[in-house]
Amino acid sequence: MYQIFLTLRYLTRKKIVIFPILVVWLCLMMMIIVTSIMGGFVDRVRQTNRELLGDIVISNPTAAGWPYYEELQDYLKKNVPEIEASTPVVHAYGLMNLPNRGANAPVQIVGIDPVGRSKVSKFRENLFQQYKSPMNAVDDFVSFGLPKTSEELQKAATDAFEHANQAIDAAEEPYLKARMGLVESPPLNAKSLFAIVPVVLFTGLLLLGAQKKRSFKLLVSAIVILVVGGTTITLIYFWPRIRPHDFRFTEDAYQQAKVNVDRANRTYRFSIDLAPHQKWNSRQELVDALVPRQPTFTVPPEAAARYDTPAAVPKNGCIVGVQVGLFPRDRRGNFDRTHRFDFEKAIITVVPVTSKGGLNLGSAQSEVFALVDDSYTGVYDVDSTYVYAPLEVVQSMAFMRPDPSISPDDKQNWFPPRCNEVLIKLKNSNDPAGLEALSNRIQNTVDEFFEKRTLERFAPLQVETWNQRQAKYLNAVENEKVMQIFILSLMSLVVLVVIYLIFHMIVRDKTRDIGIIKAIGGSELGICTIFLFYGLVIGAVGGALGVISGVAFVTHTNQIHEAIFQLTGITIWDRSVYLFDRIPDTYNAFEVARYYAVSMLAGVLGALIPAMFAARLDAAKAVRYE
Amino acid sequence: MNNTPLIQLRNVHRTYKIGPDEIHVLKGVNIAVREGEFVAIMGASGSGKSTLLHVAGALEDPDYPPAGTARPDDGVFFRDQALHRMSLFARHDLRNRHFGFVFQFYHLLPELNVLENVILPAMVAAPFFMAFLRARPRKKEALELLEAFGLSHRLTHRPNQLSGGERQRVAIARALINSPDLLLADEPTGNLDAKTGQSILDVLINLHKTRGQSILLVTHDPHVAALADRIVHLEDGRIKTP
Ligand SMILES: Nc1ncnc2c1ncn2[C@@H]1O[C@H](COP(=O)(O)OP(=O)(O)OP(=O)(O)O)[C@@H](O)[C@H]1O
Ligand SMILES: [Mg+2]
Repeated sequence: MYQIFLTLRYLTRKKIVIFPILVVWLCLMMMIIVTSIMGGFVDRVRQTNRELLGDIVISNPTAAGWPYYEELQDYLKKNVPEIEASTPVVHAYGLMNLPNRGANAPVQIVGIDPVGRSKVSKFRENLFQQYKSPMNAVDDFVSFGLPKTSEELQKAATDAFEHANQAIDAAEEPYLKARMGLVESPPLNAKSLFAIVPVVLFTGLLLLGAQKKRSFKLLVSAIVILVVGGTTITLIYFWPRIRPHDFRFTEDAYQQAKVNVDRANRTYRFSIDLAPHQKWNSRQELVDALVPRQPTFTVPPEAAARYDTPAAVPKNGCIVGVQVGLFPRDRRGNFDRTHRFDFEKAIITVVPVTSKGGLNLGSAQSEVFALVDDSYTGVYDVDSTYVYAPLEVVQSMAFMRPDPSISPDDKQNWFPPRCNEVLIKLKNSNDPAGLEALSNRIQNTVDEFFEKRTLERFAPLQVETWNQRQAKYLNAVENEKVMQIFILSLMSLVVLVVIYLIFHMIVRDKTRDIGIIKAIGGSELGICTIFLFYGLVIGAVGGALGVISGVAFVTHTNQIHEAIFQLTGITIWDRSVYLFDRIPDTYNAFEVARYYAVSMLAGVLGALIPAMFAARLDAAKAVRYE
Repeated sequence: MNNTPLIQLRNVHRTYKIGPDEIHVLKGVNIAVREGEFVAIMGASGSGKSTLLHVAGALEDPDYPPAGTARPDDGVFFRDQALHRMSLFARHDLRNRHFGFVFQFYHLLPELNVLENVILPAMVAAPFFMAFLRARPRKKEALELLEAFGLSHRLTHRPNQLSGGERQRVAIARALINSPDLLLADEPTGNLDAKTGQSILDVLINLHKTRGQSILLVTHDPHVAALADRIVHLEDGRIKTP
């Protein structure tokens, strides 16, 4: 126990321990931040993929697809009771042309049944017009306070819209001026004086004290406070004034105001849609009234306003990925929807694939659609290329469904409709081991089903879990994480060496003390324990600081990121480039605990060799001289 | 008083190796300190006095005689127990509870205050988890010792805030906290002026007289040696008795 006592005394009375503690602290903090953000990223990708795909995917590797999917779905439903829902998907490749914008883009045309797709994935929740926008309105209405009548809500929405409009006016002027380099430094406000006065006062007092007491320490403190305080004040209050010509700040404010106005406008329009003279008591009532229960491709009657004649209105709607290029995106990740597409015309051309897998260029099919909605899944590849359209329409365009005029009895020309994928949602999908077992069972059932049918002309079907399906991409990301951990381990090695060196110094410095402790009866083991315990405490204290600051940093990443922007105008995580509009800001408590244990271990390991060295010191030699 | 010596060195050798060279410092030393005796060792500088003290205090080992030449009676004996037959643990215990060292340069731990320095051997003595419990009653003893040495107003001072004489008194208090059988002092006044040195000697003499403390003291100074019951001279690695 004297070991603990001595360790505590060394800890509190030797300043050198600050260094290993600092090193452990910084290293652990970095480790937690980097792995949390990386891990958060991987988790998000996983989550998004799963929301996109459902639990299990049945597909074959050719673009030509495979037939009898409806019968297969029924067969599976009968034989695998764990299946909750399934839905077919057709993938076709082609071009989307937006004549009103003079724009076109290569796209993947995905034929789906919107209702069925919503049962297996988050398709509905990803739609803007049919889900997010009315949901935003509901949130706004709730924020106005419930219960309220329709008229009261409408009044509040009008006020909010007006308010947002004034705000955009206020934000627009400085933005435009800044763009032209016309802005002068804004005047200093009272807030900045609040910061300057204490720094000046405190520095002055310290300087006075230093003069009176002739104390060098006070003088140094005064200088430190002046420099640190001065830099902080400069950064916080003057930096944006030093760079008034930098219009990024005003641009940011303007974009924010634009987003607000757009939302207020939509909320206002929804308030008009509310049934008159009704009292809204709960959020649920509003959701029921405003949010469509089922997603749809139907072109609504008001679309006619965009077309010259009623005959010109397309029969079918389509839903585009939000990143296909319709909306610019700002640094916060908001899509600027001020130039809304309002059922505009989209001409989609499909390059059909024959049932043998060859290209059928001569029979490329074009079809006119109206854009009815956009979808934001968060996966860039999907959002930038997918255009969803009704299943049968895409099948026909891709020659995966016979012309309706051909009767099934016409053996020569009729063929069974084909799809590329069937997505499956399970009743209980949260058990990864069970998922794989079930996937194997479904594979067997599928094989069984096709035994009775001839599938020679089609490649055999594969049943994969969402996880296996995305394994390649995820593995790449996870490999990157392993790489990071490897680099961080190298860093830990540095920590180990630093602790070793400092302990080496401490032991050499304490040679005589070690001799004395031996002379009063301390054993080799006892002396060894002093330093090991010392190392443990350094690991524990540095580790605790690292955990606290690392976790604090991770959970506030987005705020810190915003603060850095406000201070310097620098955007590190550019949402217009990254998939996600928030930096991952969660941490894995188990992982953090493991790192903490590792830091304590590093403390002990780093101290081990010097501790053993100390234990074996020749006591008689150590006490011989002064 | 029984006849077995408290500590006895019989034909003790000690050689230091410096690279290829060997320095034969103790060349068959024979010396015994009896219970309650105050023995002074004198000798020229470099004659091996400190080495002798360290060997006697189990702080370092004498040479092991070459195989086959060992005589059963050779070695260092504490109350007739051969140190070289003792377990490591027993030797730590010996240094802790039966011997008390006082050094020329005080050798206090600079990070501990006066009271903590004095009480440290008591903490070392206690088994791991009992240390604080056992050390508590020892605190009273430590306070008494420091009081007796006129240091009760400096309990929380650190060694570097004390004068040389004060430090040496703290060191003696530390050596005494576990009531050792033998006090081993290596030139305890060597670093002090005459007056302060005398006060330290007074403390030692007083201990010897009132408590019957056995002391083995190394000194250059004949005046100091004169205070002892017996003086032995170390010359050419051997004890020269006049
Ligand atoms: N660890 C060691 N390695 C090598 N030689 C040593 C070692 N310790 C002591 N010596 C040598 O042993 C001899 C005796 O040293 P010791 O300190 O015992 O003498 P001393 O009588 O106490 O001298 P002083 O009066 O100066 O203190 C010296 O020549 C010294 O150089
Ligand atoms: Mg000496």
